[in-house]
Parts: sequence; structure tokens; C-alpha cells
Amino acid sequence: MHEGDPFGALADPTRRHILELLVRDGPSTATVLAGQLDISRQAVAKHLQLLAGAGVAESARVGRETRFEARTEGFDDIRRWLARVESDWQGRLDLLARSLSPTEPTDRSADRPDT
Amino acid sequence: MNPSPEDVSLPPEVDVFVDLDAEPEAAWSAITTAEGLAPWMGTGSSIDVRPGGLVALPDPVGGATRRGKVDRIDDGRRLDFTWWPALRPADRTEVSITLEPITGGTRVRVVERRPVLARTAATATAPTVAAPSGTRPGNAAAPPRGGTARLPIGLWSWRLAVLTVATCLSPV
Repeated sequence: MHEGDPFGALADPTRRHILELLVRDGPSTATVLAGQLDISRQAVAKHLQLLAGAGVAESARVGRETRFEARTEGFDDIRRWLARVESDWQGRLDLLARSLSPTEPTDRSADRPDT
Repeated sequence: MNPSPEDVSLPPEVDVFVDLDAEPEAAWSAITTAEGLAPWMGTGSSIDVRPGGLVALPDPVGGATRRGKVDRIDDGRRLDFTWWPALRPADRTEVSITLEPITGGTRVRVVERRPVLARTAATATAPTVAAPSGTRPGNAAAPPRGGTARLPIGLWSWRLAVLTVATCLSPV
């Protein structure tokens, strides 16, 4: 169903803006969003389709219009990936820092904020 | 749990850094030579430092041996590569490591992102490649110096409150 790529969908700033509006203001239509973003309805509709295909938005017919809303579950994969990759890099950079400073203690308690 | 507006205001990429008590030359060696890579990427690490060069990293932290290919070199300052777990070559991501001299040392910043599929990019009216980390607006706000380096969380919410400990920058 959601064969699209949520990371790719969110790599585009216009699509992120569209998604921001959906998250902030709730469900909306391509026509309304086009007015808010000052781009064509057709362009917005394309972006919305892509967002829906990637699983980060979903559409529902309401009368004669198609309404789109942000889809929370679609963000979970992204959150999980970011958390894992970030944690891995923090681990690697910790080791890197230690390797370049063999004589310094590497205790977290040494941390203190500058004033 | 609903996503908050800030959640989607930035590209979905990891952006972390560490401040090292080492000259940029030493830091560059640590990310480009077998001897320098061994303590943090594993014994047997190698990066052929030229565009298209092969990357082989045991990566004990990530838990899977990785292979890759160098995408870009800016000698002494920046290394970009695409890498993937050796057993899952389709699971490739792009890494950019940049070095920046700071007072008393070097800041090493790492950005990792998933590549944008051509199919996705083609549909965009204005396909964009995420800006190199050095030009990101968030960089204007200098994080506080000291034992702990921190990015302004409001601007970097995707980064899940990045907090990389600079283990060697103990104030003298």
C-alpha cells in the first residue's frame, strides 16, 4: 500500500511545508493548501499523492472533495531510524574522541557547562 | 502521539558532532587511515581516499560490517561516502563527515541520510539536495563550548536532542 519512500517524501522542502500545515491545522484539501502556499493546485495535488504513497499522509473523500491529513504511523519508521543511526554515531564518535586523547579521562562527570 | 509541526520542518537526517582535542590533521588521519580508523571503526578498517574508492569498515558499534564507496573528498576537510551493511547492500545511506577547526581542537560533524530515490525526486516540482551541513542555518547559532556540545534543540528536532559528549575537551 505505502510502497513510497517516506525519507524521500520528506527530503523536499515544499512537501515538508505541506505536511507541516496538515499537522498544524488538521485535514485540508489541495485547493486550500495551494492558496496557503501560493503554488498551483496541481503541484500541491502531486505532492499530496506522493506523501500519501509514502505513508506519511492519507486521503479521504468527503462529499466532492478529497481531504488529506498527516498519518502518524508513517513517522514511526523515520523516528526509529533516526534514533538508531544517531545512537550509533554517538557511540562511534565517543570512541574516536577517546582514541585521540589516550591520556585524558573519558568520564562523563567531567562535563560541565561554560559560563 | 501526534507529530508536532517541528518534526517535519527539517530533512530526516542524523546530524551529530564531537569536539576533539586534536589538530585537524590528526582528526583527518583518524577518519581516513587504517590506523586512525581501527580504534573506532574496527581493526581492518580501510578507506581508499579518492572518489569512487572502496570503503570497508568492521563497525563494531553498528554491529554489522559495512562496505561503501567514496563520493567526495575535500582533502583534510570533508569526506563523503555511501555505505551499506555488507549483507544488505540495498540498505545504503549517505554519510558526510566534515572537520572544522575550533579553539583548541577540531569539530567533527557527521550527517547521515537515506538517499532520495530517483522516482521520488522526479515528482518534486523543485527537487532539492539537502544542503551540506556547513551551510545549514542552524550552524549560525554556535553551540556552547565546553565538555558537552549541544545543538539548539528547537532547530534540530529531528535530531532528537543531539548530545555528543566531547570527552577530551576538559577545561584546563
